[in-house]
Amino acid sequence: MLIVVNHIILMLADDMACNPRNPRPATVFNNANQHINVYGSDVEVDYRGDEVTVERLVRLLTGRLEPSTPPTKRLLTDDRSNVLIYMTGHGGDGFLKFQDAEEITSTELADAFEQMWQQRRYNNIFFMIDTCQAASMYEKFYSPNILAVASSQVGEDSLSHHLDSSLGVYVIDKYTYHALDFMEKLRKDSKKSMADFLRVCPRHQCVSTVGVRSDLFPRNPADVRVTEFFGSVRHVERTDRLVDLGDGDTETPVTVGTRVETAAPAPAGSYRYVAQFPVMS
Amino acid sequence: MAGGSGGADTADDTRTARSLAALSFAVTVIAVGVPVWLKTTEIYRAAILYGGIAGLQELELRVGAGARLEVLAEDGPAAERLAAGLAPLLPDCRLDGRSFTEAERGRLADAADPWAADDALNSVGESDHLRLIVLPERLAPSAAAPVMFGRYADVLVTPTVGAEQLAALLRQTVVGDVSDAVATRRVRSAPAYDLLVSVAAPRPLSPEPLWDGSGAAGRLLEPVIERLRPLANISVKSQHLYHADLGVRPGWDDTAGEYFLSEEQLSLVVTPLEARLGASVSGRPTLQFVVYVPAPAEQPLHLRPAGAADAFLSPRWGGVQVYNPPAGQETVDARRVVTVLVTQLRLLLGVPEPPPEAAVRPAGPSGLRGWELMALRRRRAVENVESARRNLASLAAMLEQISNIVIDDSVGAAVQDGVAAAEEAARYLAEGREADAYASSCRALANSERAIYDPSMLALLYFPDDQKYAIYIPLFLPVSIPVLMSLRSIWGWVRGAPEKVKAE
Repeated sequence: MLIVVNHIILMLADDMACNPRNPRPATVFNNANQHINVYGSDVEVDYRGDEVTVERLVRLLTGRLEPSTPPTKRLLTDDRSNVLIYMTGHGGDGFLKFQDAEEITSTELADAFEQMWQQRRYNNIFFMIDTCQAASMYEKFYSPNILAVASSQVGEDSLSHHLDSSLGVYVIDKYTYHALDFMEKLRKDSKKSMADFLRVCPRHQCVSTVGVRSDLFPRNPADVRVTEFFGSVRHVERTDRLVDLGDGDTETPVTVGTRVETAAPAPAGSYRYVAQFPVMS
Repeated sequence: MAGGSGGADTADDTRTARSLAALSFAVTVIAVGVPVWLKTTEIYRAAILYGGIAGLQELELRVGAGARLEVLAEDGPAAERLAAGLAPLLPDCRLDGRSFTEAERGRLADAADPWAADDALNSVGESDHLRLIVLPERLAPSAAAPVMFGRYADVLVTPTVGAEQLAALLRQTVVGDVSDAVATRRVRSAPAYDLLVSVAAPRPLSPEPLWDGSGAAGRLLEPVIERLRPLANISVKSQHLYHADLGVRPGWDDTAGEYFLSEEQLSLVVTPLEARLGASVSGRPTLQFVVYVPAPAEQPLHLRPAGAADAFLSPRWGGVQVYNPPAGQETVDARRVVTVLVTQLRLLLGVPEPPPEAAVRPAGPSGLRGWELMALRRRRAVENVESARRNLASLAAMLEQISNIVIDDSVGAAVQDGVAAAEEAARYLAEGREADAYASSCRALANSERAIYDPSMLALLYFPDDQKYAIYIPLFLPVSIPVLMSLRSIWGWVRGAPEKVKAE
């Protein structure tokens, strides 16, 4: 796990893990042989079920959430943060479907990114999308510092990988399967570049053609490490010149482990538990 | 023929009546209906001060603008000479010079060295503006450097100090703009912070807590927090994390007999540790400080390359320090830990550091010197006003571009307050009133953020202009077609052309 849970905002529309038809509840596997449980014990779903709407997503990206929203549900990024956005589901030419009821269009997404840029909420964005005709979603972007990859071009469908006969559904998309495979083999100090990641799932594996949009990205993807977006590398500085707190007028000798004894407040009356099954008669 | 002409008259009358009726329909639809429709489908947009926002972009914001520097010397002319020498080098500041008052002379007479003079001049109270003290002749030989930064709002200089050197040092510290290194390291300016001290001990030896917030550690930290109160309200919290590993394996150095962490490993430590620290519930930004006490099997643990402290900080986040308990002790040495913590806190707040050629007096128990507080207030005021005007400018651009966003009254009021507060802050800064400028700039930033992050500012989804027409055209078209068709016959009637009557 390269990205820590508190740095991920996860929006799941349909909770397949707790679906009554799931023969192994609370698990979602990446293949029919049940190799990796992607819904493991350290997954934290921030928006689930009815909360996943287009409006919520746009509010999350632009920061216009209600004041009562807790910090774990907010995008707390600043102008030095690299943001990774991964979207998957059913989509078409210029839209992605939400909850079978609404769609987010590529112009809305482009406008949301532009507002993020105006509010200085990102340094670089890496946008991944795995739907049918996915390349249409990144066509409309016009903000700088965005690198986008899509699993299929306009006019092509993204295909699923394989069928799990115990569930009766196709369990994973081809592009996501190979991308996950690439990620699982990555170490913390890996030197692989984004260009390597963009080459994941060539045509003979994925049937659809992976599309890349890099004209808005100022650097060459071959020079950018994957760990910049997916890793937990932080720039650190050593602390050297220590401040001197000792020269005080009222110098109290500091003994190690002293504790100020504060008298515990006197208990106000006695308490007892309420009866568990109060008799109402 | 009489019947024919009578018939022609009535035909004319009916034609007139018909044409007038058709004309009245057309007039009602075009002159009354269309404006009413446009008015009732228009969106409420409160007035936004676009002119005020544009005016804010023109403001020149410099940290040193209007800073008041008073030169004090043994005799008035010497002070005025130094002030005049500095004036062209520090054009934004307001310089003036005077001689010591009798009271100050009396207090200075007892001082034995420059730091004692620093104490003597501030014994009755700290000055509210920056002062340049020219040391008396008898104290000059004991000066460690030509320019010495004291503990309060005074900079002590020898009588022979060069104006260029002094101006350069002042620009680097008090009256200069923020350098890039500081700007990327310091946390975002906010009126309140949470300071979380986390003691991470994988294998604690004793059940006693290692950090005592209400004991020695709290007593050492309290003066620092109090000193910072004019700047920000800092609430200190602490927690102990047991079984919290760094996630990297330290190397073992035989010759030195210690475990060590290299620099590449340090950059991988912070994020996994952050996952263990917990999320805050308050909306205040959190400054994280982690004290890592290694397990006995990994002691002593040091950082390579060796430095003054085994500590490092992550910009805009917080700091981590490694504390190796001396043999036999079970609790942390509060003074050592708090010293490193306050050093890192100062770096994270963006406190200016003078270069090595100037002498700096130890800060004392409050951890912050008077001139540093002044510089911080000015820098933050400028940062707040710059952020506020950037927010307002992008808000104005967005509102102009998207014509169908609803603008609430609250947003309009927030914009108005924000613009007024920002202009006020710039004015106070130029007048030298730092405290008022900082308060106004905080208000400006809060208002601008309230305006740009208002939850009602979402563009109308699924209702662009072309959809508005798409909804109303099926309603209006069946009504307008006969009206438009009859315009032709009205035009014919107006022109007086004979009506085309069907052949009988």
